[in-house]
Amino acid sequence: MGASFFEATIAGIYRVINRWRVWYQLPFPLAVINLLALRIDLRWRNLFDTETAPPSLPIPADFDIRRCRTPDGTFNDLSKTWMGMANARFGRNAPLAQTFGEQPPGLYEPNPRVISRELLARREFVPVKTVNLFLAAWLQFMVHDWLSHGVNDAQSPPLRFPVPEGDDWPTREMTILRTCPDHQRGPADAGRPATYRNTATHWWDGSQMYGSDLKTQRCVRSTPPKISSSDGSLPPAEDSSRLLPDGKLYLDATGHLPIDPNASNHDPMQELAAVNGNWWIGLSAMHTLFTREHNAIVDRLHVEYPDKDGEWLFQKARLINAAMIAKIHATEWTPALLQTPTLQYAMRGSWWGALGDAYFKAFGRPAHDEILSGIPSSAAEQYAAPYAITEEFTAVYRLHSLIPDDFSFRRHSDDQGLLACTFQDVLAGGATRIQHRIPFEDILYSFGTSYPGAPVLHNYPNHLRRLPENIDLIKTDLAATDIIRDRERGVPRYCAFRRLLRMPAPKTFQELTDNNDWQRELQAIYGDVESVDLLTGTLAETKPSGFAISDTAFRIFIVMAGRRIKSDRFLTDDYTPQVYTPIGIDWVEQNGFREVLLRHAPMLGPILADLRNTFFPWPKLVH
Amino acid sequence: MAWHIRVPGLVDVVLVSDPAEIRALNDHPKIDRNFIPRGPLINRLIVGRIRRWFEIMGQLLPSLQPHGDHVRAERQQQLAASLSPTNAAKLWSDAELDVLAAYVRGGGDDDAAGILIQQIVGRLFDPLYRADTATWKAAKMIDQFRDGFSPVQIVWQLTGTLRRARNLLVERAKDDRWAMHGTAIGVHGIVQALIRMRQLRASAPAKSLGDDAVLWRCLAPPKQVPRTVEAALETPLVSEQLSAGTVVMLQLAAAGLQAPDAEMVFMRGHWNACPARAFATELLLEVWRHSLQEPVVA
Repeated sequence: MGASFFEATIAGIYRVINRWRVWYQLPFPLAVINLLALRIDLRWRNLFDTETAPPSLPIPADFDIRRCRTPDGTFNDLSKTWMGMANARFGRNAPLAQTFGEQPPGLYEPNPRVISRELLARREFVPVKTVNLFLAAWLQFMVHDWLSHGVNDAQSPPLRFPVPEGDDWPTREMTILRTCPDHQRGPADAGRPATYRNTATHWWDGSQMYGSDLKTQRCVRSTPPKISSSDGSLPPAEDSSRLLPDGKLYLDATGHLPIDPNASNHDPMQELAAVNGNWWIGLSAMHTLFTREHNAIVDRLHVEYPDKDGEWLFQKARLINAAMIAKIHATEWTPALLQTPTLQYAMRGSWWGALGDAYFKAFGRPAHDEILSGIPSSAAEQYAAPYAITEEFTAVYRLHSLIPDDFSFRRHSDDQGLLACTFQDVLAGGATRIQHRIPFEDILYSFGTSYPGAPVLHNYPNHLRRLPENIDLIKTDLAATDIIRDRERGVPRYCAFRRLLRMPAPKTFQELTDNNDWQRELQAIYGDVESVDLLTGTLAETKPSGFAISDTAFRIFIVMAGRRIKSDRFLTDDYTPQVYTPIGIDWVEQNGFREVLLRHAPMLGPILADLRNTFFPWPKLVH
Repeated sequence: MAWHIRVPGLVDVVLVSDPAEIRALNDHPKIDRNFIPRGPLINRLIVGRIRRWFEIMGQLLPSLQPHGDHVRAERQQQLAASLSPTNAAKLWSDAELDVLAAYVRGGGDDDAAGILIQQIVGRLFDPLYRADTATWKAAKMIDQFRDGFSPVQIVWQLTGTLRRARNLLVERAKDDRWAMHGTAIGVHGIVQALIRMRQLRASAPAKSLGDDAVLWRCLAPPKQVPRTVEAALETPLVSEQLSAGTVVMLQLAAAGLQAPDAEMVFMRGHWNACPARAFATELLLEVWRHSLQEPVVA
């Protein structure tokens, strides 16, 4: 099965038009239809399934799979019940033949450390002044919901390459552990490209807060133990005595996340969350905010349904919270990232439809049609492959450049400086120390009034290029790691990547970027434009006006952003008052990021009063 | 979901392009390769065309013979064993390998490589097989004809060009249906792979590719292969019941985008597996490795 005749016709017409004019060069109405045509094209031509022997799963007893999200993401799709579950394989946007991981010597060419040092390292902070720092924190908060490659492979020989002469890296050779391999490959996988498994559920289900397995879910729903267990493991899932009976997630008496007694990084101040790796103050703030939001939803549901038990309240609150997060991402975060009238309209249209939110609020959804009424009113559909987060999606979401190296925390009431520190100070347990020292509303204010870094060359945070020794006693240059990860996982390089998306590939460095200095620097390191890595290319690429990211990365967003909603039964067929409760649907539709912020930090009201989008820079209230 | 094109009395064809559906239908006991004229008009024309052009001395080429044909099955097994480079004498010479590697590095042209491959394939069946420009041109015409309909084919048929091409290949194959299949049809899979290999060798990632990656990026399945429904059949892949005589087109090239593996390219693991899989993959890998020993021709 493929696209309908109508879809194929639209896609075909625009394929021809796009040979001469890129979508963003067209007048507004044509550009909007062009985006629809691109989405059709990508849905049918750039989704590839990597599963060869998916498991058959027994229906869980005592769990309402029809009306609740399972902890591990199973039974979302009721025909392929494994689809999107934790530990299902990453899918691909590139044809499978193009996805074999690179082998030495090409794997190390050009040297990733040289790229890190010469092309990526931040020389001076280049901010994006059209958005605020929540953009970066939110992104990582989302990424932790969608994907994780799990713990790196400490058993296989690591990736090793020399550090160039004159480099101040402490060793002469850089060592990077390989990505955890897929341990469940069978005979049907013989000769096929390497596959990797997503340890998180692939769905947009809030698994960064609720976990991707029952044990973790019960852990965040429980009062944490006072002391660490002797073997260092998480509290036992079956220890129901600590499970909060009211369906809430645990927050301490001050409304903050508890300390993780068994933190894998052994930091005694590390906060506890279902996903608390790569933790920093941005993640800490988002988790705190949306954990509070979960509990607020529980309180509201309890008022309406006083006879329902804590389990029911938890499951419904999770559904509602996750759907609201998806809506905020589609209608607020993405339009802030891509500030063009076309995208503002298209992204909001993905939730409310072509008739817009005003029509929706006045008359409701007029039809079960994704174009007219938005994806949540339409039926779930998987298109060319079962739903899965893809490796290419992972690759284009490498946006570490958004993170600043220096932070300034200020008081919301008068913008007085409270604390200036570096990224190192807000990492892991450092986030807790900040939370203890600075009022939550001031942390939020500081994020709202700070800028993220621009995703361009020479703007990769230097703190991430020299992370301290991890539990494997390896120092990490995350920029070099980002480069080699794409090569290792068989993500095509920049020019090949564009071709597989049917975009023109640059033939010269001059066609890649209009920055003369970058042209020379890229030429010196890569020699041939065909060798440019995807990350380097997307950072160097001349971007459309109003875009914080490249058009190349955006193409993957077009297909995957809508797909995360369109494939999910709980965001399409079962996005109904029957499943969410009428209160739940109202909660999702009536609330956005501003409402969440104001509910949990009401003193920010005057600052947010006239803000069109909460991801735009907040005004500073100076008394 | 397969696409069922059905107009009573005119056409009853199912197009299948999903790898899992192809797998299921290819091995279904009610689906076979029994090309007897029956069903609506276009189905009869398809079968008539197959019988007219791909039959030698009253017997169809082996790739068009039914599942239950024991002679085909036995010969298929024998060939698979004898064409395995590990089990047999050298199936190609070093000189031939040099020429093919030079082609992959950018020397020579497609036709010269095609003639050489046709010669190597023909020799698998007849040590004295001789390929030349005429046989290669004939094979290209047969391949185009097999791939689907185009108006130019009417001209070929009216002028007798197609008949002469077929007769030349049959004559060189000495009426051996297996040799005819190899030199007229099978040969194109290898030549197309070499053409892709030449492009790959000239590209930036050439040094980064392992053997599996090279094979996957060079090999491609044939565009489509026909099957026939032998008895009334209900399948979840098609909304209506299929009746005997329905033609099922397994669109391997389209499916290959999802899974361009040995299963789709050679139908590995199925009753109709290509016996030349080991031969073709080993030859291609040897050519690739050989081509890496010297730089590409500017």
